[in-house]
Amino acid sequence: MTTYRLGIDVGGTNTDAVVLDENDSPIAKTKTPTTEDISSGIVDALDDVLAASGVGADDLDSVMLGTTHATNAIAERRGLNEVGVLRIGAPATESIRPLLEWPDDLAAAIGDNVAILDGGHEFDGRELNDLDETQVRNQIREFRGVDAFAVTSVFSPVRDDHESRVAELIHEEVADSVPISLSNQIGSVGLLERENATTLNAALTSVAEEAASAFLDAMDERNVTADLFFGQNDGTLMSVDYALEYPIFTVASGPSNSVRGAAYLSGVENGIIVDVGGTTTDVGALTDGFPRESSVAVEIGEVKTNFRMPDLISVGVGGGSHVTETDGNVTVGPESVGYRLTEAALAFGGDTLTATDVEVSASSVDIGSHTPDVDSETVRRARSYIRDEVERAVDRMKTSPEPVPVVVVGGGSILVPDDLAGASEVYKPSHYEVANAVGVAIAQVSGEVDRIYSLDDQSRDEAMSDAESEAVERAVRAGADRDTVDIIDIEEVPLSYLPGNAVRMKVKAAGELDH
Amino acid sequence: MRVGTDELADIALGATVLGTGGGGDPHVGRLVARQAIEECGPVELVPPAEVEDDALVLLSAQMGAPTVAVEKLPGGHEPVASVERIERELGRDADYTMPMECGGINSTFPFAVAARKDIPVVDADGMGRAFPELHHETFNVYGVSGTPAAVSDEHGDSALIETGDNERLEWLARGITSGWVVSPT
Repeated sequence: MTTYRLGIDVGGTNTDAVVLDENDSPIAKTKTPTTEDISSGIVDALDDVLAASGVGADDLDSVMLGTTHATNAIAERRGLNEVGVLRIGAPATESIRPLLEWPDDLAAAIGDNVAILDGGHEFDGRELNDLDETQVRNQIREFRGVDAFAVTSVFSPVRDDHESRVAELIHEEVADSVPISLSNQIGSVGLLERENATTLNAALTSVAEEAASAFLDAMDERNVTADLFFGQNDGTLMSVDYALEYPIFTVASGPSNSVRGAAYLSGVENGIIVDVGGTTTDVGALTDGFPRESSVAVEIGEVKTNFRMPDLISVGVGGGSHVTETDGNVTVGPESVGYRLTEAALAFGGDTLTATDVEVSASSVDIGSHTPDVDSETVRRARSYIRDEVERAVDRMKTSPEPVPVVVVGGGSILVPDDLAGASEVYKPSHYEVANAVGVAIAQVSGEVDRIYSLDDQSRDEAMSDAESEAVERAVRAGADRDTVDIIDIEEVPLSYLPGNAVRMKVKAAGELDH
Repeated sequence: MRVGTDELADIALGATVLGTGGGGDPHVGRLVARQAIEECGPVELVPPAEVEDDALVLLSAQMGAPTVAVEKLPGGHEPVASVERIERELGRDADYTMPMECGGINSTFPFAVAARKDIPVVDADGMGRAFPELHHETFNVYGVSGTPAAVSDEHGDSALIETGDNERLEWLARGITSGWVVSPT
């Protein structure tokens, strides 16, 4: 029996879906408007794409979903849990209390319950301070009534004993069912950023349950019995169970998916990806087929975090961007008609001049019901504005002066000219408009380790093989087929001013989905 | 000039540039100072020309590995303990504190000390940027001794260093800190 994969990407404007055959070739695709409840939009996209492909619901082997549920919940401070934030590290760390730099409304939305308790470790695994279990139990009781706990212990990426013990104490004091996020499972060295990501994760578990049931219900409604997965922000997949525990990893999965999809559709492994949406254009870099990761702390909802995110520049130009003329100057964006493109734009009989209208009037593209009459000078200036914005973003993402391949994807791809400065070649691969749905459908499953090793009591090779086997185990736990798992990235940084030859190793493994 | 939490943001940005990639994450130093100022009030920043000739100015800084400093954050009382150790040694109170280096984490750290001790910060430093070792200070070039110096940790442990040679001061202080986050003053 032939088996198929279905990729669904829920964006701010459109819900895209694509069906791939067993050779991972797209055989049908659709773009439907994203709905308020998200799940009816998913059902619409599912119906459309199955009808177009002629594939039956029970011929689907796996379904992958990229979603903005978690991202939106943080941005809108909506549906977040009240969190008990426990930091283990006193008497150190008291100079910066948890959530100090959070926006006040976001801290208030999760209840602003914070405590710094005795415990934690040194970089080499020695105890910084004893864990005081009575103190921990008292604090847990004081936090009674919170929906979830976030536990962050100093140097837990080196030793997680204190975090694990605190989790046991929470289960004893409260209930086995209370969600607990442990920082060693979520981030790497850098206490504040790891604590922030862990706290956001704890705040998101109810939203994750909502997203998962929207997804499961939509599939149920159409009798889809395939394995279900969520896309995560490093461009790989996780099981629904894993997503329920680590919803923070679904944040910003969209851009990663489009980078991977663009790589797959174009065959380009190294280059720059330009993803033109309705409101913004995201420019990312592709290294060996994967999104290049950001090397600086990434902000989510104005909160600094240090976990894996693609290195991206977002420019306020998209297919729905307003084209404005003031004193002879033409600007494009950042205001956009967004999802109302098909009613507001001139080409669809509306009254707003958008970037799409400029292209429709100037070239032979067949979009909408009208051919808008746009002054040729306005067209020239709008096009040159868009070209400048995109070329500048491409230039900022490049790491060398040599021209590199540029792959253009997304619904607004027609805006980008074929002769960009800095590009050795501009690719607009077929199915470019659903690249992110393709990206999530072909995604692999990964596991990652980021740890500090002391090379006094073990050799470098032993430390490396420990990190590698843990990364492989984590990939397998996340759903990868063990036989296909490869180490895809190794970073090794010797640490200055530290005794004992300390080295920080960051290893990532990825493999095909276990069918 | 009074330095509150808004001014700290500008100082931290400048410290990032002056740190030229070293000196630790100014973001951490900024947050340490921010919490101290929120708890104890803004800090007075005084031009060097206004400092009396016989004033006692104690420099404060954090010493150790930047990688450790972003994970094992300071308790906050360490530099205050160091300042008070020197005050006991000299038998007089500090009139001012001052940064050793104006790049990286240590440009904002003295503002936390100043807020908690209720003393002003002198608008000057010993380097004009971030430096790797203590004896790279301008003061050493002009033969000023860096001791007595005190080193304290988050547990309340402290050590007093006396030496006639600033290079040995670096070596001794580094030996005591060796990866611990502490503050020679």
